[in-house]
Amino acid sequence: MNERDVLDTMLTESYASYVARGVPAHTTVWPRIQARLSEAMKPVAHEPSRRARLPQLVLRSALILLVVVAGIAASAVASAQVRAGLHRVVQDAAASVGVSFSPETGKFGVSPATKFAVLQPRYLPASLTFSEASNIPAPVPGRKLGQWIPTLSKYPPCSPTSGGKQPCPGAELATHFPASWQKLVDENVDAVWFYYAALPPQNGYVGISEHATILGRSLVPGGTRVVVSGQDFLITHEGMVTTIGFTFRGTDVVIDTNLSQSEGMRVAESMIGQ
Amino acid sequence: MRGCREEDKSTAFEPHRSDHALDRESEALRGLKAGDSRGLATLVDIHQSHALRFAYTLTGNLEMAEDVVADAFLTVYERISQFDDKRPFGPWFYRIVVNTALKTQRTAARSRQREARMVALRNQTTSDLSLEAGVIQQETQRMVMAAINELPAPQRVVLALRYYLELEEGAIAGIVGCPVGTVKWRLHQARKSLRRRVTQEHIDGVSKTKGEIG
Repeated sequence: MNERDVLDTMLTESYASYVARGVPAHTTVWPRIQARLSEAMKPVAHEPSRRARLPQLVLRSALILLVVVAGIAASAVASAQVRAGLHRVVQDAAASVGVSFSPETGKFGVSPATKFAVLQPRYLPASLTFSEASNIPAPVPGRKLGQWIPTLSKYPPCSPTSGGKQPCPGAELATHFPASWQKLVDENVDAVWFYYAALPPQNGYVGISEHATILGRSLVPGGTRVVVSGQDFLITHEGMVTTIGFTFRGTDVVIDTNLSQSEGMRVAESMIGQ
Repeated sequence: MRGCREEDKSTAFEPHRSDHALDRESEALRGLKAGDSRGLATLVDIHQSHALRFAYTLTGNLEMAEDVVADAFLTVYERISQFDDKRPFGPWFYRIVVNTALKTQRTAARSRQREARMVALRNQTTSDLSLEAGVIQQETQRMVMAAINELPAPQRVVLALRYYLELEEGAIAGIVGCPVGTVKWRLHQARKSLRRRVTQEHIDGVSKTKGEIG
């Protein structure tokens, strides 16, 4: 063997030996990738529990509703075929939470009003006390939602980032939300808001990213309406009591997650000034 | 990569790949481009083993290598729209791995990690291998890897691509984004440095061992 051959052999063997000793045979990076995706997108790999799926259905309905109405409003953007498909989806989703939806009018059966709809599942799994809830500080405009929400996360009914806990269902929703829909939403949503009531934090879910900026807040009967920027709203966060809603092209759509129907209607009406 | 602006287009890089794997890869890439995140899982399944080991040759630290490869796959996920599917995935992906590894190393505490790496290597060498396996060979490999870790990053990258992934110079050029001549030059410089650093005694030892075996 000449010197070059020896060196080549030495290098090849050294690398092989080094790697064989340093990297276990079945090492996988997939968990790390999932964890990072969770950080960025909060995807969930496993099936949410039955209980956790309820707000997911609400959110799914809300988002589908949003897209449908946005799609109707922006007919130049969405083709008739796409709209027809979305109508079918939203009809199914609305039916799953006990309301009807008319593709012709774009309205939901639960409310005769044209400006909003209320999707109303009864969802009251609260295990917290009023006193705990009343300690929650007020949201501060200009700050990121995530700077405020962590004060609530000590009541985690779910956690997208910590292993072993119940996953947040909305994260799955975000994962499966098509990019084309996101574009529609981005182009049409003015703001996302939620109702921060002086009620115990229940297992509601907010369809808003913690990166969204708090734009403002206003007192409404029984609580505070918090408005955040319309981007990045698809990812949910846990631990909020809320009615959530979206404003697009000046129209509010209200989705109640855990108030009774009459309460939800009242809140919705107060929010849009009726 | 730093220092190279010209990209060689000859990218004959599909190491250890069966037709089935290539089909799975094509399908995964199509899915990923269409927004199906399951494609990412398939790509990870196909490429992680080689990528992880390759990243380890650059970082010398398993945890860092895992981070590098995970980051690289996430970069693929984020930038899949930029991938030209008329070209092979391998060079594009390994270029991301290389850049991610170098970036990770730059931001890490280099001296501390190098020291930890050397300690780990020393421990592994003394604990994992039996004396019967060949003390001289182990010592040589330890010295070689220690010497490689002292080389400049561009030389370490081409060495790992050449001697671990066993790629041809043209394929290496495609990954590091340099002309083939630059790759050859870096390999030459790396070998020259290694010859200087690894003592003649060890080279003679390996040569003798090989002669006896072969």
